[in-house]
Amino acid sequence: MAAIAAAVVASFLAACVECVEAFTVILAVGITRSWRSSLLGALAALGVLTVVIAVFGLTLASRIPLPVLRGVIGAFVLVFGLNWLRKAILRYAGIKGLHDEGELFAEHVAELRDQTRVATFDWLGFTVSLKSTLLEGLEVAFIVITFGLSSGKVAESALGALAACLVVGAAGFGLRKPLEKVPENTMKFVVGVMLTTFGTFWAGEGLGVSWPGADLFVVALLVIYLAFSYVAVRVLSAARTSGKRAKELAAAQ
Amino acid sequence: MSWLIRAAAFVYDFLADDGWELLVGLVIVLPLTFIAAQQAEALAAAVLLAGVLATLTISLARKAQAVSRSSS
Repeated sequence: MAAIAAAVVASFLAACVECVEAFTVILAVGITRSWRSSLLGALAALGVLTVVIAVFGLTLASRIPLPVLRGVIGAFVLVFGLNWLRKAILRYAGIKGLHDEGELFAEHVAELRDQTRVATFDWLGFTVSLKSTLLEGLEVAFIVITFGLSSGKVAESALGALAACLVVGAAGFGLRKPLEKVPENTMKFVVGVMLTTFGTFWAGEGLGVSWPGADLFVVALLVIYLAFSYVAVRVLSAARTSGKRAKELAAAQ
Repeated sequence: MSWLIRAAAFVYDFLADDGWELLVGLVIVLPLTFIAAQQAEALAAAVLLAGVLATLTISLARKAQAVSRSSS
C-alpha cells in the first residue's frame, strides 16, 4: 500500500510541475494568438505522444535521449520567445506602435487573399503549443516510467500523472477568463519572457550546461530577463524622447 | 527547385520574423555554448546567458536605429 501511495504521489507532484509548464504555454498562446491553434497544437502533441509511447513503450527512456530533445526544442522556443520579447519591449518603449496599423493592414490584405485558397490558420501558435506540450508530455512519460519501474507500480504511477494533468488543466481553464482582460502587449511581454526563460533553460541543458541550483535557476533566468527588459524599455524610451526633442529644436531653428 | 527555395523562405520567415539578428545571434551563441560546455559547465551557462542578452541588445538597437533613421 505504501509503495502504491509513494508511486502515485511522486508521479502526481512531478507531473504537476511539467503540466504547469505545458499549460502555461498553451494558455499564453491561446490568449495572445488563437485558442484554435493552441488547442490543436496541444492535441497534435498528445497524438504524437500516444504514438511514441505505443511504439516504444517502456523502452522510451533508452530510445530518445532527453538532452538532445531538450536542446532542439529549447532552441526553437528561444527563437520564438526572443521575437515576442523584442516586439513587446519596442512597443513599451514607443518605437513600435501598440497597434501597428501598417502591419494590420498588410495582414488583413494577406488574409483576404488567402481566403480564396485556404482558411487562415495560426501556424506559429500551433507550433509553439505543439512543441511545449510534446516536450513536457515526454518528460511526464519519463517520470511515469522512472517512478513506475522503480516501485514496480507503472499503472498507479500513470494514474498519478493523469490526475496531475487533469488538476492543472482545470485550474488553467478557470484562469482563462481573467487573463483575457490583461492588455495585449502585457500578455505578449509575459509570454515572450516565459518562452525566452524556458527556451534558454532547455537549450542550455541540451547543450551540456549545468545550471547553478538546477531547476531553481529558471526563477533566476526569469528575474534576469525581466530586469533586462525594464532597463531596455527605459533606455529606448529615453533615446526616443531625446531624439524627438533634437528634431523639434532643429525644425524650430 | 523552386519549391525548395519557397520552403526555405517560409522556414526563414517563420523563425526570423522581422528580426534576422536574433536568428543569426543564436546560430553563433548555441554552438559557442556547446564548445564552452566541453571546457567548463559553469562557463557554458555564462556564455549562453551573455550571448542571448547580447543578441537581444543588438537586435533592439538596430531596430531603434532603423526607426529613428526612417522618421528623420
